[in-house]
Amino acid sequence: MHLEEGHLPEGYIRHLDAKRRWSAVAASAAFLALLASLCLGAVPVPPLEALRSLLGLGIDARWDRIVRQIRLPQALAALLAGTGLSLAGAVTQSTLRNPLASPFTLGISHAAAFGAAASVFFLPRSGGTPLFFRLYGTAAIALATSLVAAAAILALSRRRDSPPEGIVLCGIALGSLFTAATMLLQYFADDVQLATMVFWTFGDLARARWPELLFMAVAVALTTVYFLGRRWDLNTLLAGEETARSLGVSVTRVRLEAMFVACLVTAIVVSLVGVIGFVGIVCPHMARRFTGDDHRFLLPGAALTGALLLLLADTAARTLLLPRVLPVAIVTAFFGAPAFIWLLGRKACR
Amino acid sequence: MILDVEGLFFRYGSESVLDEVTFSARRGEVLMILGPNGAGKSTLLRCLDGLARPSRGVILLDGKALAAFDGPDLARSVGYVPQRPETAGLIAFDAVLLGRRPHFGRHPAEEDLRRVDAVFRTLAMEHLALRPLEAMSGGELQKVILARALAQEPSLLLLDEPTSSLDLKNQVEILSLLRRIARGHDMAVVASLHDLNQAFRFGDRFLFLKEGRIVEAMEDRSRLSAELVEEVYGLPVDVTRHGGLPVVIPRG
Repeated sequence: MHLEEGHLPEGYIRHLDAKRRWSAVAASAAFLALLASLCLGAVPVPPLEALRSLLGLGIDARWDRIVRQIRLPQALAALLAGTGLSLAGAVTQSTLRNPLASPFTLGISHAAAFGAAASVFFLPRSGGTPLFFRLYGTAAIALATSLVAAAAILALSRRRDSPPEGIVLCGIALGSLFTAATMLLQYFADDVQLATMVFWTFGDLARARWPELLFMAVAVALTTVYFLGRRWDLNTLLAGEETARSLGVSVTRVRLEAMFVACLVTAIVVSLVGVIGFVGIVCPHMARRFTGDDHRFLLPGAALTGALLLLLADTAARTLLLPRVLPVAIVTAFFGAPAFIWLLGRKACR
Repeated sequence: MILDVEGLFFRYGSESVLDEVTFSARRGEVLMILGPNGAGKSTLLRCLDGLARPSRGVILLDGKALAAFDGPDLARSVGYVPQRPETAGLIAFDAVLLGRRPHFGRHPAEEDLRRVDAVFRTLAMEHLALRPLEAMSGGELQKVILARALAQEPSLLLLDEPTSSLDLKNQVEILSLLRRIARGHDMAVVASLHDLNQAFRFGDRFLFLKEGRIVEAMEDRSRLSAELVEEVYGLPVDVTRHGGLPVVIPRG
């Protein structure tokens, strides 16, 4: 081919700039939401004080303590978990070429929760488990069980004739199976174990403290870097498996790697804050409306949307029924389930 | 000589799909692969792009064995246009930019954008560049995936029934484009086609496949006979001439 006579396409460059602007808008919205979540609660904190505290310039020690020790860890947990789950959802949708895929709808989250519960049941508690094991041991077992669910999904999705709905039905079956397995463990658990296990079945961001946050931050950051590095390979998957292969992309390897990393981040988030549904399916689709399917823009968009929405949901969960504070998973289910059903309807209309 | 295929066998289970297929394709020419459904046309094209692995036989690209190429290496030499284009939430320019994937490392350089722009100019489809694939007709989509394969700057272009979902005008447009590209860019084009009349109008050489075997490799379109078509397709036909081109008319 002789393709030397091309020009730099101005229209396309403008198009790229417009797409980038969405990320900036979402990032500003997430920052404002962070500030709002630091202000809102049983004791309202003035926005300026909250901002000062956030930047480490707090004057009033009382407000400083509320913001930095109580609200900030929970808000950061929301931002990190939202980013991780939404990215995992966006990437499973792309790798399986299935708009209904996400860690939650495929049963991967439930499998991770079962693994976390099993770690409490089967492993000895010799007078206070060390922090190291509590974090990494539980996460490792959650990862192992989530990979079992992912392997089943991948095996089914290899069959050409399996429709997107079929994969999700398989996910529902896996979700029920692992939930039942968790209930079986709960049935035989003693009181202390039971109290710990219940924690994973409905996600709550309030438990995450600094060691957990650091672990989650590293996991989410590495996941983001990996997925962004793969953005062009994920884009070629959009053109279909055969075309991706004929463009020199090792499709099987990209798929397995991406699913593994999605499972990894899901398992870590679930082992730290429990199962939080619908973030991984609804947030990427909201982002897609603005960014399209191009992973250069979809990945940052989905990450920011997930962070923003989970933070808003958590702030609502903390403040709506004051003095009662709800686990965030209840709020995401109330908003996420109708959104998911709407998504199903819209897909059926096409 | 660019593509040499020798003694190609392909088995699917115990069933033989390709049976000792031997032929070659040259730069600057359009080779049409003809035959009924299930003759092995798609499998042959997939073997030529390394998407299917033949059980026996050799495929040489400019003298180098196909099996010796790695993924991106092969993608810089061979472009493949599948039968059914997939849509996604991408604009046409991004979809064509994917064709530069084997050329760029971590992300596309300005030069890649320029070359994609040149492809849009070559195909006279600049007006489609910023349109989402989801808002495109079948003909426009077919042009986009052809443009993607051209953006790879291959020396061998493979197309699996590129006109099967197009109306008459778009069929003629795509096929004459293929001929122009083969000539103007010194590329070898290998396409499978169902419409014999269009194949003979736009092709240079013709390969008739039946049940995985080559029935006839034709260099000269004037040698097309009713008997050959009947043998390959199992359908009685008349062959007449119109403006120097053979025209196949089914009987009955």
